[in-house]
Amino acid sequence: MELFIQQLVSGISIGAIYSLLAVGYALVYSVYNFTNWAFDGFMAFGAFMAFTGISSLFMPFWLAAIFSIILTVILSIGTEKLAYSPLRVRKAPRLFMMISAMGVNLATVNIINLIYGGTFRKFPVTNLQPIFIQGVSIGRMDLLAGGISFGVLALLWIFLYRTKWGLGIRASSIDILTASLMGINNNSVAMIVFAITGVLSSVAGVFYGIKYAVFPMMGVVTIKAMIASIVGGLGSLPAAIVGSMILGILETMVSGYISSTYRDLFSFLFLIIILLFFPNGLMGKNIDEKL
Amino acid sequence: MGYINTIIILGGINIIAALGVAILTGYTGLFTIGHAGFMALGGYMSAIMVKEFNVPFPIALLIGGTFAGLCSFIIGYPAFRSQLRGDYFAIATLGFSESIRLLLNNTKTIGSIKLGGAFGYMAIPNHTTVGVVVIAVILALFFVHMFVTSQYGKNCIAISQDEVAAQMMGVNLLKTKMIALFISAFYAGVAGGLLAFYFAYLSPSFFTITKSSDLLAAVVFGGIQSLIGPVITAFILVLFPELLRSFAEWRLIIYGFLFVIVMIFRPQGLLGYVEMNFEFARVWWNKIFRRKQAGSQEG
Amino acid sequence: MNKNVQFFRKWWGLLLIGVLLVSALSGCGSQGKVLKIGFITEQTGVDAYVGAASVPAMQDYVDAVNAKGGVGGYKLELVVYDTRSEVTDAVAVAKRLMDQDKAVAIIGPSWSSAGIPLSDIADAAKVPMVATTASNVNVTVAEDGTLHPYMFRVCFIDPYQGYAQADFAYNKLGLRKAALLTDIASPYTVGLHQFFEKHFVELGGEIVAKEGYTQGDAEFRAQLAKIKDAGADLLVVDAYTFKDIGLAAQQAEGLGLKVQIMGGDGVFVPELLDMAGPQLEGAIVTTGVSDVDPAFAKFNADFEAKHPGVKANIYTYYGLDALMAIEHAIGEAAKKGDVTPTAVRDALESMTDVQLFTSKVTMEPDTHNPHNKPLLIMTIKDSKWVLTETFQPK
Repeated sequence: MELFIQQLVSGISIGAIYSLLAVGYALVYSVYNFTNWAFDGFMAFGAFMAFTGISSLFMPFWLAAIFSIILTVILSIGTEKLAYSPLRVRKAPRLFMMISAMGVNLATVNIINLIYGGTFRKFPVTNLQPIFIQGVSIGRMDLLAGGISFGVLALLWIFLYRTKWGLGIRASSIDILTASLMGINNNSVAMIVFAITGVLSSVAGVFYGIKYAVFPMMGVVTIKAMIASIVGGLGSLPAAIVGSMILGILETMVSGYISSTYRDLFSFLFLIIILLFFPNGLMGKNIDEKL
Repeated sequence: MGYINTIIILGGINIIAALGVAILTGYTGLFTIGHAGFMALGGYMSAIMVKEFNVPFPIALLIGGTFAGLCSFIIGYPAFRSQLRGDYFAIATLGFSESIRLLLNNTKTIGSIKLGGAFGYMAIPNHTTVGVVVIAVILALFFVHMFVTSQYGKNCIAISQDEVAAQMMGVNLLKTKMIALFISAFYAGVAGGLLAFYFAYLSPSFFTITKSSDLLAAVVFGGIQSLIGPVITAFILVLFPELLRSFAEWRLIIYGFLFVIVMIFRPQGLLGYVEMNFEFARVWWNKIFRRKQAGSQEG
Repeated sequence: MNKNVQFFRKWWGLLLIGVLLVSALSGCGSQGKVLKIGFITEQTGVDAYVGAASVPAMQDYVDAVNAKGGVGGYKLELVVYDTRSEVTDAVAVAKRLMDQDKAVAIIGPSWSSAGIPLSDIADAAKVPMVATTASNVNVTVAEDGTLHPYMFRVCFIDPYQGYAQADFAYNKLGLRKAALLTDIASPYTVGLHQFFEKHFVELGGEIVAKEGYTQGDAEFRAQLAKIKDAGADLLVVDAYTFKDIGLAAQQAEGLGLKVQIMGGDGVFVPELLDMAGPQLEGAIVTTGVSDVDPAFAKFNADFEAKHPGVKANIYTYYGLDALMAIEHAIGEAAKKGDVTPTAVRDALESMTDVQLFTSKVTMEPDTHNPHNKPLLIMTIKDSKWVLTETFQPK
């Protein structure tokens, strides 16, 4: 029983990190209907910027985190302006935007590799001792990460549902053309959405970096986040969180009780099965082809 | 000369696999980053056929390709039946490819066949030569050209432009996509087989996401709805690293930027929408020949 | 046919021809009295950290040799190519070195999945290759038992290291219940764990848990919780990448799993101590070179002074071993006459008690593996390596 709860706890903490990424991904998808493959690179960028802040610029942690957020937001918005919006304006097929995003990702990750080298770095942050409740360990870092993740997500929720800009974004996610007819500035919406993406990737990157390590290829975890948000149902932020939790717990349970070696195979099969029975994900919006 | 041979062989293999991706992504508009998985399936199957069952080499290649094609139904059917959107399909192909790699890494033996798992499948006969590859590329080009100029090819193009409209014109979406995927996987499988008989060894580590991305790059740069574009680019992408060796670390960065630049400034790639036919040889000749005449007249 | 198309076709065609010509010609050119030594390594891709320190270290060494007048009357030139951590590229660049650059010997590869196909290619081209850290048995000796005449290595092989680890754990540390955390995508890890298990069980030990993961994974808590539940007293993580054992140690501590941790030479890099020194307190790592030896300490310090930000590691040391072996072989071949790749190969095969960078090496003529290369058992104490024992094969 203790083992079961331990696995559950581990699963939830993994799910928390997936959530941050999944929400960022879902946000972009719900408004623009395309997969931001560059997310991978943004996350690594965020982590490395914070790392540089602490180790080369001797900033205290909180300052480095803010430094990282600002830079990642600039990167994110810059990418939007240079690599996505020319295509968006032209109503280019989604395929082209995805390829452009992959290009940005390739370039970002490899520039990081070039500058920093491929080795694995540790965030110079003291290791916090885990809390033990009846033999089940709960990492303090995980609690912090979980808390901040949910805090950020709550802030995001407030932003989306209680502010004017949030309304604009939600309107755009339903129909971008109509939204612009209603007076919503598409460019501002783009900027805000990608700024949020930047913040989320930076925070996710920093947490991942602290929990595990900082290295150029660290962004591959975003693929899990994509799977999570697809499973939950693209186009819905709560769904992305639910999907992430399910994926995190499922992975850990499979790893713990079935086979750790075949864990990823199960994740993939799970994705296929979900899509077979729930083509729009578990909680997804039903988007029909309109004629 | 062995070096030039290597370039031709690896380039040829890349061309065949890239043609496979071209059919699926270039013509049918389905983004795939999982073709390395099909290469692995075809490669291992062909190798097993020859090494364990003494099947003649060319037939083994075809069996390998067919096996890869049949396996494509595993993701094709669920994906297309539920009208999986472009991005979902891409992630599905990625997941599929990684799962294949995982399975291969973990399978030490199947019955009495020692696949080797992560150690790899060893002592495969060395059948791939320059001649074999050149013939394979020519055949591949011939058949794929037939496909894209046929009604099926036109159906694929219709799907890539607008699925709903295509459906209204009577195109059976499920069937067409699955055929495109099958052929695409078949080509990748044959390419995988050729690779196996060139290295005389197969390891799951040959078939990573990097390989899939390389194939995609060939199609993106070479051109959508074009065959000759990806062919040339696939070959150049094998050649390029050799020329840029001093800039090795910059190469992927350059590719990344090129992806973006190509998409923004020339999304049809370098030779997109250009149909391949053999007129070009005659035109070329005329152009050079006529130029010469003009020059000597002015002389 | 529109003009655009014609334009492109003509230029692509010319470009292709031009490119082929250039690459064909680029390899030619007279050598004078210069011998080219090829080095294939990972400069980009997932294993980019492997080549990062090796290249400057080896270039420094070649420069030093040349400054002293070269070897046997020849100057040396190091030609480095990137394998991109991909076998296809490793094969292409090795071939280039053999056919175009006319290298007299090639250093590399560093991993077995590339080593196995390359051994056939080296034999066919008759150019010797000295693998640095490829430790799978089949790199030098084919599956059917035949030797690859042109393939050598300077590191010890998996059976040797796995055996040594099991022996030490059982006999010296008195451990009986081992758990294996295996990177299933790495032949190195799979091989080492296989041989560890064989000998450990032979001695009477028990493998209580066998868990897997794949390259790139960072989350091991599910596996570690199971290992804790199984009551293991030893955790063997002979990872190819140090991050795996570092993270495993951290996460084990987080779970309250108290167990002896053991790793192989793949993780013997200084960055491991930076990453997880405190959590790895008391961990055992087997290796072929001792960082603690004053000679190495001096080398590391000089290296870091000359190349700030880059630290020398196991790949550097083995790279230098291979380079020095080739240097020795060139010297021997020069004494006998022309330095051809085959002459270098013969000299490599007959290497006896030659001082390389990490130790003295005698090449076993029937396996092309270094004979009884000393295996050092290091313990991590206070985030530093401490030499605990030198393993002697029986």
